[in-house]
Amino acid sequence: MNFFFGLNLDNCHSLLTIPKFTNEGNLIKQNSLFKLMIKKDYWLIKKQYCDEDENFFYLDISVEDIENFFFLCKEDFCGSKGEKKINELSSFNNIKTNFTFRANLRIYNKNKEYTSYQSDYPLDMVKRTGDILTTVSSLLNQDQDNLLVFKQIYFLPVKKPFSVYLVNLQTEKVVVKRTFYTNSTNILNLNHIKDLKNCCFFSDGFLGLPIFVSYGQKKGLSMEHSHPPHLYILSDNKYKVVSALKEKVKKIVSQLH
Amino acid sequence: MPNDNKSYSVSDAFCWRKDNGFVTNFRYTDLVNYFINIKNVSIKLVLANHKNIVLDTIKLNQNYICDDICINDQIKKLQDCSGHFFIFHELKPKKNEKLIIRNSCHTSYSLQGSTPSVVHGNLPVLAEDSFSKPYPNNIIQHSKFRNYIYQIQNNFSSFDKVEAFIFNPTDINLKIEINNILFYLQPYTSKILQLPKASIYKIKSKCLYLRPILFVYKDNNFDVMHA
Repeated sequence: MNFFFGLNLDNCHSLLTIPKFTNEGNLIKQNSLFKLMIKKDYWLIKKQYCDEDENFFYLDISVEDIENFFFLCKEDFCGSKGEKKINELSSFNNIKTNFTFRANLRIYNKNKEYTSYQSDYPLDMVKRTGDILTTVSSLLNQDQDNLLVFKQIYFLPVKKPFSVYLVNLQTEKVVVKRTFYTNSTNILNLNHIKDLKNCCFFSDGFLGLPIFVSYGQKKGLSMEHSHPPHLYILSDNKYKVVSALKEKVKKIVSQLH
Repeated sequence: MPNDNKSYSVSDAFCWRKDNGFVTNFRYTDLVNYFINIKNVSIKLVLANHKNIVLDTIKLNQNYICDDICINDQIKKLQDCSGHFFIFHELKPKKNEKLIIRNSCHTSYSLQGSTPSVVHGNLPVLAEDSFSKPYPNNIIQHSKFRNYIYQIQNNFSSFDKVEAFIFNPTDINLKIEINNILFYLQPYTSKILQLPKASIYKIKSKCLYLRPILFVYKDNNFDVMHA
């Protein structure tokens, strides 16, 4: 079960192209696109109307919907009322596939420059708490404006604050500390921050997707997400190795408090 | 993945190209320093053409945890315009400790001075042990009998041009069909091909997981993405 989303960026629109088939080529029948939004202290689910054809839903996300989330489900999911209230997010569909079910997220600006990547936000990440750790400089472009966009979806309908840091692993110092929020597009401007080649980004207590966007000075846009650290370690000791690195970063961060 | 008792450095297959004004940059993390805090353990970039003939082996700088190298600067005198490369980290695990590291770092492609489009590694394909001996088995499996389908989850009809970089990660001569295009790739070779105009691309082969990297063009813009 995956959720789809747009990015709330000042100068770019988000377009989602959501497939009606799996990577194996199997059609997903009688499904519709739904949106999730926070209303006071509950989630409200409504059917999302958008352009579609036999293979895709095409959702040019409006300003009003930019902080909402989207998912596929059986077309009668909301019943006759056309909407549903729930207290927490859970699995709403059961799409069977050996691959990760993804939508194309494209951002584009008024000059029609665009960039995209195959995106999803897995339910597994929505339900869990934890820490995110990623290096930073590999996804930045020199002489451009660079943003770290941290997309967070949490299973409860709350905008809860949590701390994030940029940590220099060579000097073992915190370079930046910010407050981000659950169920939000959080943005950290990386311009004017020095020595990013030795820095990592650390989110304390909540998971999310670090997405890096470059734009501005030169023609074109760039957008890519970073990998979670355990993707780089394939041996049985991967969680031990990654935990040790996270503990090292947590120790550096704790010196601030 | 390697399932013997040895430590391995696993590499994805990364595309490089310098045709038509492309500049390829590889942005790498010193994974051994980052994860295990062991410094000055070497990282090598093995540069090959599409036929998997090694053109050069380059030792990467390790002045930072993350750094980058311009592939075009390494290949100025070479006639080949594109190919693939691998990254291997020298491993010095503790006695009786098994470590398998996968390099799936990021490559960027800039076309005629545009903002580089960044994409992470695609598929793990080759591995070397701590003595630089290659892992002898396939990391991505293939079937002798059945074909696998990989249908890309995007609509490509709006683009003027779509190119696919495909690498054969198996030790067999692989027959590949993309829509109505049929071609073969020898073991561990690659190809960049322009795909016919279509809204959907379906890839059929005996490889369990054959996912290309796509270069898409519209008007004066281009982008690189995973399938």
